[in-house]
Amino acid sequence: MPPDLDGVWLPDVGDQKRQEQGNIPPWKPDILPQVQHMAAEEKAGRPFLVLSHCLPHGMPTWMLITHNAFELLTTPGRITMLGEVDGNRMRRIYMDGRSHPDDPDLTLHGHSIGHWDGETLVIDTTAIAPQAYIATSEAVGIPNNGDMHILERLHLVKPDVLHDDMEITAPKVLTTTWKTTRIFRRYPERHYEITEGECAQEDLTAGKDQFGNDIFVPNTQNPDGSVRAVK
Amino acid sequence: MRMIKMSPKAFSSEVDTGSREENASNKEVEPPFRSNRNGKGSRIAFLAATLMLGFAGMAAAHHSNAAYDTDHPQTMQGTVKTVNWTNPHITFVIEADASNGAAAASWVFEVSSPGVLTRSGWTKRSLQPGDHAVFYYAPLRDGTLGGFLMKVTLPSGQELSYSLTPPANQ
Repeated sequence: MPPDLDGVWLPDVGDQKRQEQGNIPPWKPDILPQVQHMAAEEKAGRPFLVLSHCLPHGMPTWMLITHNAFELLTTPGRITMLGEVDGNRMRRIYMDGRSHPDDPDLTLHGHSIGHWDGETLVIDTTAIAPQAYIATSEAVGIPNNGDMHILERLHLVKPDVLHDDMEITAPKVLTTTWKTTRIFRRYPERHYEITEGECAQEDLTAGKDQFGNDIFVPNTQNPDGSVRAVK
Repeated sequence: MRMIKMSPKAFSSEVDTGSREENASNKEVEPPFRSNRNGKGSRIAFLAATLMLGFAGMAAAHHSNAAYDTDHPQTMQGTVKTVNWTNPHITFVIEADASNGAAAASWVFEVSSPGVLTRSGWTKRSLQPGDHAVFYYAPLRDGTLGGFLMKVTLPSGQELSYSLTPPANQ
């Protein structure tokens, strides 16, 4: 009997930070200077805006750096992961024994098939868009540039503590498979829900059109992504 | 920096943007997209508007906190003017109290997201327009009036704070 992974899971952001510092991806030599530049820019207060496009984080960045919750739902033949904040964040993990498609449409979350290995959920993900970042923070990330493959082993280390052991193979930017783990927690007694979240909301503010209809109008922001004083 | 691989021209026939400068400066702004509310057209126009904003260097949405100096948090007092309960970051516009000869001024504080604050016990009414409070924040590095909000103390002494990863028994 596989464990019940359904519910709302929150990332352990403190551990993310430790991973960011202590388990750096094996970037290829020609990629490393880009990463170092981004890290220096972030330190100088000029962050590269990994998430500014308001597209979903995509894989593996969603699992790696999200500050928000996701909800995991099990239905026959499938596990679905629904996310918060940056638009249509959704991973479908097919559990019905199918293979990856021969000619997939590339997406930011890729095509995922899963199976249970004892009490561990094993997810194999391919068909990820080359533009999907491998990000270690909201200011440091490199597009995978194609042919990425992600193997995840999700397992409970305590009843409400989930580990996602990830093996990320991205031959265009990494010298070897990068192994890293992310921790997520469930708080059943608090009845948490994920909220609807459209990333573009903060770019906009409530206003009216010439007919008096309620619409969103642009909100002034700066290149570093922060909002500035409004009149 | 955003969407640099996409051409805004691909959408230019769908949208009447006017000039970017107009959009940026006109406070009684008309939407930079047509009020075409039937399906695909409006969606594309909306996307195009978002792209145009991006190219104008105005909007940036979800971002790292590197613009804020979290090593040197500060406090200020003021009155809530506007609450924008939005993703990816909530913003509060605060009218700072005039003090020490400094005139009253509008500040903008950003803070986490509706999901995170809701899970930390906030609602969109926790801070309301007209509320006076003490704001504990990481200032903007460029000295602009505003910062990343970390904690609020209400006149009652109640503190509003939040945690990305709430404490757990496990």
